[in-house]
This record gives sequence, structure tokens and C-alpha cells, in this order.
Amino acid sequence: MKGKMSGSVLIIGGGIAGMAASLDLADMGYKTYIIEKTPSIGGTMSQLDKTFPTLDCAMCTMAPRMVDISRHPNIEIIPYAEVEEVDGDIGNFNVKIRKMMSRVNDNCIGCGSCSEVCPVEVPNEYDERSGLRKAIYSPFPQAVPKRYVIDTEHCIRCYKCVEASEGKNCIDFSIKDEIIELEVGAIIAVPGFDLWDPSLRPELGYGEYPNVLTGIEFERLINASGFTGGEIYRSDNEKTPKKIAFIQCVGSRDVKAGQPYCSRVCCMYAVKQCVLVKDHHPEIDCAVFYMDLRAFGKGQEEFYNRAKDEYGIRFIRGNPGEIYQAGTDLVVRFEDTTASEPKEEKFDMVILANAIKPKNEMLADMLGVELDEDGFVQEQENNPILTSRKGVYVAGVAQAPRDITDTVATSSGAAALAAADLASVRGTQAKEKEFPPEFDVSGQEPRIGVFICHCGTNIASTVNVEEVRDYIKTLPDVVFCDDVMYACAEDSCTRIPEVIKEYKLNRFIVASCTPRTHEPLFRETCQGAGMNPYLFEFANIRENCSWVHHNYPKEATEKAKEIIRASVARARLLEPQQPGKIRVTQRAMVIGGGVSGMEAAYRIARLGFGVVLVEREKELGGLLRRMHHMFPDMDPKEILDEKISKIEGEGKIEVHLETKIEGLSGFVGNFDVKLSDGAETKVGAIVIAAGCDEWKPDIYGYGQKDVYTQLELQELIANDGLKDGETVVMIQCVGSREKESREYCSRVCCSEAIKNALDVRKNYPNSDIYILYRDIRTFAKGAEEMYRDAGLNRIHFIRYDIDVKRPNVDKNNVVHIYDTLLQEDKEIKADKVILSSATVPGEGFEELSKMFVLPLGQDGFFLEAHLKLRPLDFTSDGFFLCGTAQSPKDYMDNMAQAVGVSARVGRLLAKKEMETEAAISVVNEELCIGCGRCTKVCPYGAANLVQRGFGVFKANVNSALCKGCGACAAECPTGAMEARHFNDEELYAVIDSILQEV
Amino acid sequence: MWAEERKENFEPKIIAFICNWCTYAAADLAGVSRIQYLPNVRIIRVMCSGRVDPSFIVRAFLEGADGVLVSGCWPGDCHYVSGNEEAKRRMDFLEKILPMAGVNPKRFKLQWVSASEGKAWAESVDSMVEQVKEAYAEDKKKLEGLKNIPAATA
Repeated sequence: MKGKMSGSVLIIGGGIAGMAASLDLADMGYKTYIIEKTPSIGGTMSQLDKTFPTLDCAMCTMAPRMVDISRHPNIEIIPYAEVEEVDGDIGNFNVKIRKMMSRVNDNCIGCGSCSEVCPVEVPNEYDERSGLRKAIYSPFPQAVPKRYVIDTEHCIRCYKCVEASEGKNCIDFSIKDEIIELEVGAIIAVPGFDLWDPSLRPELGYGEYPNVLTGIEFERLINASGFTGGEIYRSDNEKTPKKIAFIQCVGSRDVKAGQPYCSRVCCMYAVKQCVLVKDHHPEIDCAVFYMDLRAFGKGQEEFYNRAKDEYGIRFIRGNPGEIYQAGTDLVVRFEDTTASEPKEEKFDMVILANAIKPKNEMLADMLGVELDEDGFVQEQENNPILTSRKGVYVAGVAQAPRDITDTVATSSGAAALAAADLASVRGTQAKEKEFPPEFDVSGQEPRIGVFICHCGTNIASTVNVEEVRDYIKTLPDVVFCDDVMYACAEDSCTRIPEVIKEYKLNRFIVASCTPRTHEPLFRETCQGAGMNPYLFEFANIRENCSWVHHNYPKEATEKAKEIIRASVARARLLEPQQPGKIRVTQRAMVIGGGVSGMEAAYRIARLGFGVVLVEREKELGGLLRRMHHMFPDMDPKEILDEKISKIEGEGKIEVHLETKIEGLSGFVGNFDVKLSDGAETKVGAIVIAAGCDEWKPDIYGYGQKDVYTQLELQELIANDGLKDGETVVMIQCVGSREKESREYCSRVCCSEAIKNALDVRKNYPNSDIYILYRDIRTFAKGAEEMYRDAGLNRIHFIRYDIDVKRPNVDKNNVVHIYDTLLQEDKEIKADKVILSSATVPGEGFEELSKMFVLPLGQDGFFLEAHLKLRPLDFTSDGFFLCGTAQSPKDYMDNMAQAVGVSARVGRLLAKKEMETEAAISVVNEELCIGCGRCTKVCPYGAANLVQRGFGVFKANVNSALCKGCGACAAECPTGAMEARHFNDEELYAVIDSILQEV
Repeated sequence: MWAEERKENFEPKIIAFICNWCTYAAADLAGVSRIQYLPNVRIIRVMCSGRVDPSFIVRAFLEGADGVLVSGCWPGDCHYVSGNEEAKRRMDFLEKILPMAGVNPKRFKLQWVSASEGKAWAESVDSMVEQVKEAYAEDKKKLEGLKNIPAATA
């Protein structure tokens, strides 16, 4: 490596992938630059209404992160800019960046008065060109940075904006493009994706008929922040459509169109859009035309079932061949493949799920990164984050189509790899978060400020926010109260410190969503104004009110008033709290020595931290040891050997085999773990990488001679246990996608079966091979191509439908199946029956869940902190998860999560010291009678009795051990024990306020 | 004021003390999943059900709450190891003395709800509302019975 290494990283692309990577890197102690082509970070996710399958509001989950980024001392956003040139190598790249002339300088405060007077209106890219924006604009209300830009292509130089902003000196027409240079140690490229132009399939009428839209255009139409305010209507007659058709695989899985691959997200976003339509307008009929419904991710099959059963959405298996307009109707011609007949049906709106296309030209041209034949980044060493150029990493859709969950995992992964490269210079260019000194509120009368959030329409469509605001204004001690569109967005968060100063507020309340996700953001915002974060109070009027009382708008409005009134009552009594500091043990424990656990351990070690790797079995490897050939074409033995030698060679990893966890005490940063081999160890973070199992079926004749699972088939092929010329029948979804037992899709079985079928074909060319399936879910990179290959290799696919007739394997291994495509019963005498058996939670999951108090979901897999944006964290501090502990997944997705989790662990371990809970219990010794009851209920041994004189004992709380549960305060008979921030007076005040007669 | 001067359609007001980690998460989940339930409940978030001092419940009844619900993690799931066990012990005791103080036992409930049980949370609110309405009807009947007793003997 030449020259000095740089402790900074450049992220090219400010979508959710770049955002996630930047936060991980910046928290680990690296200076991070995000360069974004458009005026704001946010990317495609900022355009989305809700995200599948939880229907979380996209903006609500991402806006806090956008704000975090804009305030992070280690992150610099360079908006409206492009990379010009990249020189140098890993460790020290020199990057030239062109900042496009926005003609607005740093004086811009985002007030928008320039945009108001601008006479030019052009189609708005944020609304997919459906709505309008001005020539001087900010792309959307929550934009970060909130700085306007002039679109010089459309600006007519009337200078009205300059007049409107007179005195502010924010608009300067003399600004030209500017080239800046950055020195960075690593580069993460997250360019996002393009969408295929559906007018290239002219028979579908896109571009010709105004009511044929793409998926993303429809997303803007149904979005409350969209150009119709979320009202669904046809652009030609402004009527609400009665019937909407959703057409899948438009340009995807289509060799002719140039995208032979599956775009991976369209099935689920179509299902989601249908559900959203039904939520707005239950009377609208929604029909999805599909070939294979690919609901493979966590919670997705369950969501798909709800869409069918609860919302009555129609799913029609057929690929429409033509759409034509008849009068105001759109007629869809299609073949219903389950009835083998051509049909026509009238709709008045059609949504096309057009293919995702790579946008990697910059990567190839400027960074010299190798692309695959589809134009996605060619991954290296079976790692989806590694590119052919050292020091350059990718995440998200750059390597293959991905949903947000999988994108975020790869983003953390890219952050981890970049951080590992620069581990020796970590912290050299980083800064600490700094807050102004806190103002003193002691002895002051309460002066309370309140923000009431509309949350777009999430709150405002049920709760009358203006009425609530006017009521709250009348409450004593409330000196400021206003309603805002999004309390968590940059503009609102900038206003909070301003109003705190202006009105001399000493308490602040935000009435919006749940404190479980948003409290840290608002507390920090208040700290920015010098207010102690514990003087902030949260009122939840969304999860606890508007979202659950749709049908009671009047009651919900009254309830919102009471919720906020109670918050005001509590806020009056709030006192500042100060956290303590504890040392962090900069070492992690990884539980589970399969692929994910080994990779996670290795990557954490590469970041410079010690790792204890614990495995139940005699040797490392997990399920990998039972495999002989992995999709797409990997040798598990080779991979295993390589991983084990990496772990041994690293030197920082302590491996415990045949070992279980016996006991755990302590807390984040300081866990004491007892192992069954007698070892006791101290770690700061714990990663659950325990793997899953293959279900032992009790159906389809399993247990009979010649009936095997897919894993057993691999073994058979490896040991030459088949004969040429045999009939091999594979049955898919064995024990998966069953509402009564395992509702989820096991995600890996389709590619697994097809790969194995091709292996049988290769080794036994004269075999008859059948795959009996419900939907073929070959979504992974290369899987769709393999599926096509299987068809060419005489592998027969027969579709069944459990709602019509279940297949059956009789005593003689004759498989009976009703073929829904030919509408006929079939009998196949099988020599080998192969069951694609479900992936089930590992047998250790429950024990681990109990011991560590970590939640399992209804599917029996571990429950992450947030399915979309925090897939690798638990809600409990210090605990992380990756791989099949979270849900079934294939090797590549496991790798992405395993590498990714190391960055999440790294964020925590990077600091030698962390702050402890400030809201703990304290003793008033005057009231304490030394009865010791608090010591009996304290689960952490934090409460103790200390001698204060002859025979005089008083309770005492160890602040490093106290977690602030408050059990001691409830137990104390004299009121000597106070649970800070949740003390008796505050809670009485809340109770009284709720029950107060108005 | 209980059972007096109530509207025709008695809509009870229920105070729910719920823990941050399980039940509050379940209430969030109910929200995110848009599971609808009756608007009669007012949630007071505490970090642990073990924080719930029986005096809070007494205070709520004294101030006019029609029902009180206490909810936390299932036994064994407590984020603070055993706070819910302490809650159970205290609430069991409280349940014994509430009727002695003239509070219909149906007006109080302790219920475990885990973070993944959004639906269970919604159902427990709805069933609590139902239960409190029953209590109201019972108490009203009792009160009317008392009124019918001649003044001299009452």
C-alpha cells in the first residue's frame, strides 16, 4: 500500500443502502461521505408508501435515520453531485467529485419562499413525473439536506426567486459546477437500480393508455404524500377505479426482454399495493396476474395468505398477452393456466410490475468493477459484497435485485468490509457527538412545548389534529403548541431547538408515534437545544390511537387529547437525569458454528475485536457438513475448509466445541457467560447465529423405503446411491406454506430441488425426473436461469394446489397428483420420492430464547428489532442475530447477514466506554427503614443493604447494575425507593390527569 | 360516582399499566398491523409490570377508573428477569382485597401479552371492556336492589 491510509470512506449513492452503511461506519469511528446525485438522500424507499409485509410506513421508519445522518458528526452528505474520477488503491483512493451547480448556497434554510414564486412547473421525478414541481425545488418535504436547488435546464432566469429571498443571500446565479477532491480509504458503491421500460412490450399498452401504470407510479398514486394525497383515481376521468389488475413479470424472467432473472420484489409489492388499495377502498376489486407468486421472505407467505383470505384479493395464474382499450375500460386478455382457456376481463386500471435493471455503468467505467452478463456486479469469493476491485464494495441492488431487508444486511456487510480494511486507522478522522451545555431547570416553573404530528395521514385521517392542538393550547403550563406534518422529519427536528429557545421552554412533548422507535431521536433533538433529554416526554397517538381506532374518529380525537393531557401532567414533574459510564469489554461471543457463525466470528475479528465462538457439536460447520453440492455451484467441503482455516489463522478467535451456554449475567458491554466446558468469559456483545434444521417429515410416505429428503438425496448422489433410468419424483413445500403448522415459505427448497434434479440428470442421464410444485420460487441470482435450464434438461414440472387436491404418496411409492395446469389426475410410480422438507427453527432456539430473554416470532425464528431496517439487531441492547436464526435463507443471504452483523457488533464494541441507564432507582435514606425488601425483588443484585451505624441498615443501589425496572420502588413500604423518571408522583399525576373530569 | 349518573350507553374508561418490552411492543404491533380495538383504554407505559405499585390501581379506582388492566411479559419472558412474577404476587393480593373495598373483581385484570401478540392485546382490551360492562350491569342491579329496601331498614 502506497502512502498514508485514510480513515474515511466514500459511499456513492444516498438510498437506504448508502444510509445504512454510512451510519454503521460513522458509529464505528470512520469519517463517511455520502455522495448523492439528486438533491436529497432517501432513494427509492423515500417514494414508498408502506413496506411489505408489516405495512410499516416507509417514511416513518426512514425519516429518523435521515435525521440521524444529517446530525452525525462523522457523516458528510454531498448532494447533487457525481463522481468524476477515481484514482489510487485500497487504503488511499483519490476521488474527484463534480458538485452540480445548484445556484443555491449554504445560506439556504429550506424556507421554500423561492419555490412559491417560481413560475415554472415541470414534472416531479419524486412523483414519477405525475405531479409537478417548480424549477427551484426541494424534492420532497422530508428531504435531507433541506436545501433547495435550481434545475438549470428548466430555469427561465426570471429571477423571481432572487427577489423573494432578498436579504438572505442564498441564491447565487454565478455559482458554477465545482470539482472537489476527497481522499478516502475505501469505497462503497450503492447506485440503486433502474426500471425496465414497459413500452418495449407494446402489447401491454404502457405509454398508450393513460391508466396503464408501472408499480412505482402506482406507489406514488396511493401514497398519502403523493400528488393526489393518496386518493386513487384515473388520470383521464378523475374517477376512482372499480377494478384494478396487477400484472407481474413485465420484463422479468424474460430472456427476450433482456432480463432473464427474477426481480425479486414485485410479487410482494403487488400484494402490498392490493392490500393498501383495499384499506382505502374495500369495494375496489384487485386481481393479480402472476406466473409464480414469490412470497419467500420472512412474514411474506403469511402476508400473501392474509391478502387472499382477509382482503379477498384475486390471484390469477396467467400472463396477460395483450391489453387494449374499449371505451373507458382496459381489457386484459390472458390465459388462465388453471383452466387452460383464453379469457378477457375488463378493468379500469392496470399496474405493471416492470423489471428491475442494474444501474452499474459508473461502477464499471469509473471503478473498473467486473459485471456479470446481466449487468449486475459479479460477486467474488461467493460473497455478494466483494467486487473484483480491492477496497470497493457493493450493497443492495448493485449485485442483484433485493428487498429492503436484504439490502440493509448487505449495507452493514459493506460497512464491515470497508471498516476491516481501515481498522488500523479507525477513529483518526472521526469526531464525537457534541451537545451544548445543559441549561439548569431547578426551581423553574414548567414551560411546556408540544408538537402534534399528522404523520402524513396516519394520524390525521382518524384524529382531528387541529382540534387536539387547540385543546392542548388551553392547558396550564403549555406555552407553545403546534401541529406538524412529520414530527420526525428534518424540518420539524430543526424547529424543536428553535422553539425551545424562543419560548424558553424547559419541557418538550412530541405527540406522534411510539417511543420505542422514536424517543432517542427526539431526546437528542432536545439535547441539541441544551435541554436534558429526560425533560422530553412522548405521547403515542398513532400506534395507541389513530391506527387502532379507524372506526372511532370522535373517540380517537378525545383519546388523543387525554393522552397528550396526561403527558403534559407528567412533563410538569419531569426532572433531569444523568447517565453513568461503564467500560465496554471489546470482545464478542458468537453462538453457533455453522456458515453464519463462522463468518460472523471471522469478520468481527477482522474489525480488531476478540471473539468467543461456541458450537454445540463436535466440529464446526453445522448443516454445511451434510451438504455435498450447493446452489448455484459451490463445493461445501471447500468452503468449510477455507472458513475453518481462516478462523484458525485469525488468532483472535477462541473456539469452544461441544459446548453450550450454562448461564448469563450482566448487561450490554459486560456480559458474563458460563460455558458448559467450565470456561467463564466476559464479552461485550452476543451474536445468535444458531442454525436451523431440516424437518423430519411425517407425511408423503416418509419412513418408507426410497423416500428421502433433499439433504438425504445429496448424500445419495454423492455416494452413487441412485441407478440410471430411475423415476425420481420431488415434492415441494413439504411442511412449509401450511397454515395449520408452518405458514412460512422455507425459501431455499425450490432452488435446492432444481439444483439436485440437475445433478441427478448429470449423473444419471436416463432418469425420469419430476418436480411437483405449488409456485417455483427461484428468486436468487442465477436461480431463474437454472430453472430454465431444468426445463431444457427434461425435468418435468407439475403444478399442484393444496386447495384443490393434495398429492399423495401411497405404500408402493406411487405418487398421485392432480395437475392443475392440465386439469387431470396423474399417477407416477416413483423409484425415489424426494421430499423438499421444511426448514425449521433449530432445536436450541427455545432454550437460547429463554436463557437470554430474546423473543421468537410466531414462526419460531428469532425476532429482529425491525424487519426492514434492523434485521440484524435484537431490541435488547448487546444482542444481535444473523443467518437462519432470523429466517430460512440460502448461502449467499446468510453470508450477507453474517458479514453485516459484524458491523452492528463493531458499532457497539468500537467504544471503550458507554453510557449506562440514567433512569435508575435511588434511595431516600431518611425514609428507608432497612427492611431489605428491595434487595429481595431486585433481579440484578443492584439493591443492597449497607450499614450506616450500629444496627442501622439502609438500602443502596449500584448504578452500574440497576436497569431501571422499578420493581424495588413498587415493593418499598415507605416510599424511600424512587424509580427515577417513573416515580410515584409522575405516575399519580398521569392517572389523575386521564381520569380528570372535563 | 361508580354506577351513578351514567349515560344510557355506558362506555367504561379503562386504565392499562403495561410494560415497555412485551405488552407495549404488542400494542405497537397491533398498531402497525392495524388490528382494530375499542377506544376505551388509556395506556400508561412503565418499564416493567414489576413497577406497578398496587397503590396506582387503588388511585385509579378512587379517581373514577371503571376498569384497570395490568399487563406484562409472559412468565419466563420478563425483560428484567422476574419483574412480572413480582407483579403477579402483588396483583393476586390486590385481587383479594378489592372486593372487600366494594370493587367488583371484574373491574380488574392481570394479563400476560408477549411482543408478538398484537392480536392478543387487541382482544384483551375488547374483552376487558366487555367484562367491565358486565360488572357495571351487575353493580347497577345490586344498587337498584338496595334502593328498593325501605329507608328505615336500609
